[in-house]
Order: sequence, then structure tokens, then C-alpha cells
Amino acid sequence: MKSNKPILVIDDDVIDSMTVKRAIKDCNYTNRVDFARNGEEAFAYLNNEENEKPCIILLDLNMPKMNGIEFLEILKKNERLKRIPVIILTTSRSDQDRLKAYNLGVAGYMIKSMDYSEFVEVMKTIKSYWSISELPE
Amino acid sequence: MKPKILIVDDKVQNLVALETLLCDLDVEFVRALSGNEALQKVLEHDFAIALIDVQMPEMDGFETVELLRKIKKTKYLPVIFVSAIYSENYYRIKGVESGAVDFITKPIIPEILFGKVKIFLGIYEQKLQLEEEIKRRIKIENELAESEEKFRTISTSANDGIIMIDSNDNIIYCNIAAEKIFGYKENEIVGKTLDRIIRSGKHHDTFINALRKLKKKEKSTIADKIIELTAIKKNENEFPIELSLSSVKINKEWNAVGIIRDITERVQANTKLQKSEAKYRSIFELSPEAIVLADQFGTIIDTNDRLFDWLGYESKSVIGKKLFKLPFLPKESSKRIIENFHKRMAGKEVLSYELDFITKKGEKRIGLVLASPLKNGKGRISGDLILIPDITERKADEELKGMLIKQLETVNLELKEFAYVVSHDLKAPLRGISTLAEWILEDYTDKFDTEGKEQLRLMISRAHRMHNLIDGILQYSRVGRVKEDKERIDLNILIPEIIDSLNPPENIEIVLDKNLPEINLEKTRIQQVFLNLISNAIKYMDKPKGLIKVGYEDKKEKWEFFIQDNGPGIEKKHFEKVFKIFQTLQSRDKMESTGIGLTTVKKIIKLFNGDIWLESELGKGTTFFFSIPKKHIEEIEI
Repeated sequence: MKSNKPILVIDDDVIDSMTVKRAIKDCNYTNRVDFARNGEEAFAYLNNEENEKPCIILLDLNMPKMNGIEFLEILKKNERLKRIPVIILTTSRSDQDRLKAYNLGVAGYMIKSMDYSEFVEVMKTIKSYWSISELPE
Repeated sequence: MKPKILIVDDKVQNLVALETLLCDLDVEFVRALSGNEALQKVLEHDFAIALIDVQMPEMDGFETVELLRKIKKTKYLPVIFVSAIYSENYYRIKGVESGAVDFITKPIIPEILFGKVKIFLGIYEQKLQLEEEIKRRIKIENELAESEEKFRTISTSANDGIIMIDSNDNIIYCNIAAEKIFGYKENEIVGKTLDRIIRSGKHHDTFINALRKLKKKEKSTIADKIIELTAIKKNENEFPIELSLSSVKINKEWNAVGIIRDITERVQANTKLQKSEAKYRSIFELSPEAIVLADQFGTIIDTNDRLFDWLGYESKSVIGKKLFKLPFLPKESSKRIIENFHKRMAGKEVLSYELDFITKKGEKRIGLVLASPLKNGKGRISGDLILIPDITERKADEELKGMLIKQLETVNLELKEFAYVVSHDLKAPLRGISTLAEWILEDYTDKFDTEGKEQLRLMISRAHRMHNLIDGILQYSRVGRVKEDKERIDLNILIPEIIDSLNPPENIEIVLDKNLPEINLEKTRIQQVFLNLISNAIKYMDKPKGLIKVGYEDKKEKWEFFIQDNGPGIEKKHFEKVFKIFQTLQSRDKMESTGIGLTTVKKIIKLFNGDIWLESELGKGTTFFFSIPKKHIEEIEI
């Protein structure tokens, strides 16, 4: 990763969160990884001035309370937060979800794999991409 | 006026004697004393008789008569010679042979003279009368000729045929128009009998009866009435005529004059009108919809029986009523119908509209009012034609359909949500199980023996299978539910792409027909069809050298595609089974398969209105065929 700022993972599934955490570790990320279990929790994290602004957000779509799309709608209206790249990590192959996500300016859309090793590959690709892509301040 | 008698004698006493002898006659005497004087008097007077003395000096009696005979006026003047001597020679004198001549010898016997003069006077009287009669006759003849000329002019210039018959029904006169009407040349009809030109038929007996009565001078209907009859032309063709007949007396003989008019055109026009009337009447009566005809004042003129069938009111009970006073119209409907009626009568266009009706039994019905103003020959609005189809059932059907569609939409939405939940909520725990199993296998590999490791691997593979089944169900349920636009697809490009994505092993050759068609369909669907069929052929290939052929046949109404392989083949008893959901022919442990691919393919083909079937021989290979109608595709395009 170009930046050393934290990565924020927003997902309600504990095993999925564990998967991300383990994959990040397996990929030798140096960034700290923080977790939120839904959109509301994520905003609580993001709006807390004590927390550093994350360099990337990995976002699940199907979550209780505030789902991924709702989270994106609010995020992209926020002057301070709207430039943080958001990558969708979901099981949904729905065209509608893809369309909505890209309309809200996501940086990528990844399908959660059944296979852990496949998922590690996905995470590696993300890492290598963002290690050459410049990020805004 | 008295008849005049010329007396000629050179002796006055003789003249006096003659006058005396004849004084009893009511006549006037004119004297002449010589032949010359006699000639002079003749020019001045008209004489009935002349009495001339034979022996006169200068010009004797004979010479005088000779000269008189040369004058036109006296050429035939009866003359009595008075002579002293009788001679046979008297008869030989010139001019005596013309005109009456007599002789009387002297001495004159008064009775003889008196008698002869009287006879001559009688002849004169007769002559005068005859002349009078001739004059009168000439006058009458002139008058007759004039009247005949008048009649002829009228008769020849008349458009109507004029025919005259005698009491034996012989035609004795016929004008040009009549000759034309019956197709005869000049003067060809005259002499023929009436039955040659009038056909016995429907009205014939009445006509013959009336004619008989007319002859008997009984009161007759045809004398002044016009009757229609069938007539015959010279060429035997029949045609309708109109005849008025009256009797006339000519030379005390009974005659009848008939005025004839050819009414072929009128009858034809009438027949045409009747036919057209009958046609429209039958349309009116047989129409499946109620029809109401109103005049321009809104009074109902006619209705057909459908109105009765529909609303229970008979035509009779409605005809003559005003549009706004109809028993089957509730107040609100009456108002609307009369409002729109006035608009139409004012020449404004009124679109069809729905209206409530109440049947005689009190049931509410809905009718669609379709009306159009009727125009007369001059283009003026003369009434209104109102067509009222009963749309009660249709409306109910529409409402029901609308409700069902709404229900269906709700169900569909629920299903979509269900699919979403399934896709996420069922797959998430599966993924968890599979991931955790993998980690256990990885992190605690030294703690498991071979059997334990195999069991964990089986657990992972079952989790994967379930994941695939869920994906299959989702895919199947998406077909037909997810809308996609049609586009032109060139199969020469699409199929190689599909094959490429399948990455077939090197031992399998895939051959495509050249010039595959371009079709207009939903791309994802047609892609799924080819993908499933080709991937199946690859997946189940059991020969060291696999051959898969993809081709088609243009069958005019439809395309017929096929995917042929030289794989294991399918037993005939399984032909139907392969299309059923979750059906696999091999154990899933041997060949990982959901059993949803062909089911999905069949569903798509059915959506295209096509068909799918297969031919196969065990051990030799299978060919899947499917047809896609071309027409269906075009229809949807519109």
C-alpha cells in the first residue's frame, strides 16, 4: 500500500471479517485494519476525530441497520470523506447492486469467493494495485 | 236573295210577255235587248237561268250562247231557247252540249214554259246548296288537318310512348317514342295486337279486366290510374312499363289511347335500393351489438333486438321515445347521452364513452356508446346512429386482469427479494463453513490423520456443491424474470467467444458451421443456451479425441440449431429426464453437476417459443437440437 493509513472493513459477518483479516495478514499488508459491523458503526468510526482517516474502505453490501448502498449515499455527500476509495466486497452478483455501487463512484466491485485461496488472490491484487496508485491526501 | 233570270229578246213586248207568263215565280228578271247586252248583264249579275230568243238581228241566240259558254261564269248556265221555228239543227250548235239547254217554240204554251223554268230553277237551287256543302266540307277538312297536325306534333315529340288500339286490341297508331320503347322500326307496330307488346303476368289479369270494363264503358280503374305492367320488346326481352289508358270514340268506334313509360331504370334503382336496404337491415338485425337509431330531434326511430336481449326492453316500447327519457338510462347517463347527442347534432366530434345502463330486471350493465351522425343526401345531419356494445364482462375481466397483474407483480417482487436473500443469506454461512474448514485443515494439519483430513475435504466439497446448487436455482429463477433488451447478435462472433471462455482441453476439437445466422434476441439468454450445451459436451467427453459440432439449418419459419458430440451418449429412457431440475445422470461425486443447466436451457427455449430435443446413441454421442421461430422474434421487435 502506498499509504500507511488504516484500512476500514465494513462487514456484519464475523467469519467474513476474519477472512479479510487473515488474507491481509497473508498478503503482508503493513496497514492497520479496523472493523465496523454496519454503516452506522462505520460513520461513528469515521466521524471520530481521534481515528485516522482510512486510506481504503472494503464494504459489504448486505448488512443490518445501514446497508452498503445507504452508507455510500451518505459517504459521497460528505466533503471530508467522499474521496476515500471504496471497494465493494459482496456475495451479490445482482446487476442492480453493481449499477448502484458504480453510480456512487466505487473504486471496485469484488465477489466474495467460496474459496479462501481465491480470496487471498483477490486481496493480493488489491494490494498490488493500490501500491502503485496514488491516493489523495 | 231571289234567283235572277236573264231574258233576252230584241222586242220589248216579247220580254214583257215572258215576265207576265212567269210572274208567279219568286224571281227577279233582268232584260237584255240584244246578244251584246246579254253578255254585258252576265258580267253584272249571277243568273239562275237565261231565256234567249233565237231570232235576233246582229247576234242571234245561238251565237250569244256560244259566247256565253266561253265565259267561265256562264259556262254551265242553263239556257232555254225561245224560237218561232223548231229545228233539229238546234242540237248541233257549238257550245250547246255543255250546260243544260232546252227549247220552247212559239206560240208559247204558258204551262210548258212555267214547268221548264221551274225545273231549271230547282236545279239551280240544288247547285247552290251543293256549293255551300262543298265549302263547308273544305272548311271542316282544313280544321281536321290542323288538329291532326297538332296531335302529330305532340305525339311525335312526346317522350312517352303513345299507342292507340281498337276494340279488337289491334294497334292502330303508335308514336316514335313508343316504337323506340318497344324496339321497333317505323310503322312496324301498327297492325299488331296488344298481347304482342304486353306480357301476361302478375298484374296482367287486373289489366285485362280493367280493359274489358273500359270497353263496356263500365267504370274502370285504368281510365285515369297508372298501372305497372311487364312489356315485351321486339327482341322478346321483357321490361317494366307504366301505362295509363283512356278510351276515345273515333267515328263512333271504341278506341283506347295508352300512354306508356319505360320504367326499367326506375325499377332497377328501386331494386338496388331495396337490396341495399335489405343488406343494411340484416346488418342492423344481425349485429351482435345493440343499435339505436334516432332522428335529429332525439326521437328513437328504430332499435334492433339486441337491445331487448341485452336490457330486456322491446323495440316497440322504446321506438318513439326521446333519448333522454329511456327507461334503461339512469339519470346521470341520460344527462350524458343527451349532452353528447346535441354535440354530434351540432357537428362536433364525440369520442366513444362508457355509460351505465339498468336492465328491466334492475341489473347494472356497462355499455360503450359509439355514435355517428347520419347525413341525408344533401349532407345535412338528419339523425344519429348509436351502437352500444355491452362491455360489462370485459370491464370485469379487465379489472380482474389488473388485479391479477398486481398480485403477480407483488409475488414477483417477493420472489426477487427471496432470491436476493437466498443468494446472500444462504451463501454466507456456507462460505463460512467452507472457509473455516479450510483454515482448520491448514492450521491444524498435523493434528488430523488421513481419514480426518479426507472427511474435512468432503465437507468442503459438499459446501461447494450446495453453493453451486444455490447459484443454479438463482440462475434458473432469473430466466424470464430479469428483463433484457433484444439486440442483433452475430452468432459467428458470439459462439467462438463462448468456446474461448470455456477453455476446452486440447483433445477436444470444436467445429462451427460457416455463416451462422444473425439473430435478434436477448444476448444473455442465447449465451446461456450455447454455453450450457457446449460446456456439457466438453464436460462429459469420454473419448481421447473429442469432436463437437455446432451448426444450424434455416427452416423458413424457424432456425434449427444443433450441438453434436461424440461423447458417452444418453440412454433413450433418460431423454426426458435430462431436462428436469436437479436431475443428473451420473453421481455428483463422480461428476460435479447441479442438474440445472439443461433445465435452464429448456426454459429459455420455451420463452423463445421454440423447442428442444435430442438424439443419442449410447457410446457414440449425443446431438441436442433446438429451434427458435423467426416470426416470434420479429413480433416482439415491434
